[in-house]
Amino acid sequence: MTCVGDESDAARDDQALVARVLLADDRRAFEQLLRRHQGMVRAQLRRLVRGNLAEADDLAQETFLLAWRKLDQFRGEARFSTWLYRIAYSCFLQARRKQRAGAEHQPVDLHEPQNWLDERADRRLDVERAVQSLSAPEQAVLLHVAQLGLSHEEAAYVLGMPLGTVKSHARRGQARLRVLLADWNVIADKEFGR
Amino acid sequence: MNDELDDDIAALLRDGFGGPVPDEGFCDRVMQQLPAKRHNRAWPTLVGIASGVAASGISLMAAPVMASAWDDWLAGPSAQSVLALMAAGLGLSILALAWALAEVQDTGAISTLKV
Repeated sequence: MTCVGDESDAARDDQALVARVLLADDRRAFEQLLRRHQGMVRAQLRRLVRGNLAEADDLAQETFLLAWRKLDQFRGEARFSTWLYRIAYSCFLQARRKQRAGAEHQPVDLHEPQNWLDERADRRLDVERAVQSLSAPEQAVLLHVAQLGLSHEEAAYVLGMPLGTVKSHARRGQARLRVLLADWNVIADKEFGR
Repeated sequence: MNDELDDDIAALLRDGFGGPVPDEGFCDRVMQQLPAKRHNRAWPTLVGIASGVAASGISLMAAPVMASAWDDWLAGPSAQSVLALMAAGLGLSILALAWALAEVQDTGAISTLKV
């Protein structure tokens, strides 16, 4: 886990790189931004598309190309990574809308683990199954808050939801996870303080 | 950060996350796809604004409404031509406001968070 000082240093570095891109059309500076953030953006998208690696990487590429084109709209009031997460989430939603508008939409079986997870440990599978049984907004909120480490305010910005909605999704998702994981004995009840 | 998430749930979720994805040539592929030069969007906007102002000015110069409005304004602010001009200005302002709101909702157009 990074500390606050590291995060603010990283944010300043990002700001400096963005300035170099905007002022000098510096492709190397953008490449540095890309290398610094591609890992987490691709991880975010892999979770959102539930392990479809090719689709996640296509969306990640679209995200960074959009970031290149829209960089002058980055005001620096949010962290650059948060801004990227927001673009990535928008790309994901747009792709989902196109898929729904297409001929067929394959619903994901929430109770069958995906192939990409087959090699994970049993506990991780149970957690994954429990997460996939949550509603889509609850999954999205928990992904951004618990796994990507965003604050509730940042998650609200990325997901385009009111702050109160984000908090209630987090609470509900967490409560449902607690029940499911306790039922499956992933963690004993006493570990949840009950 | 996540004050409202229980530590045990957060730990389980983090454990299943896996962290950042290794590059494996992704950055090189993206860099190859980048357009050669960033598109500078400032000048088309400025040219559009200047053209619009010029076109409006020319069309109003040819019409008697400006002179009429000025005369009417001196005579009293409730004149018809003055009200027409004010209504036109109000309409343009509303259009500009709608355009600005649409821009705000565009992907990542405005960051509303404090770092």
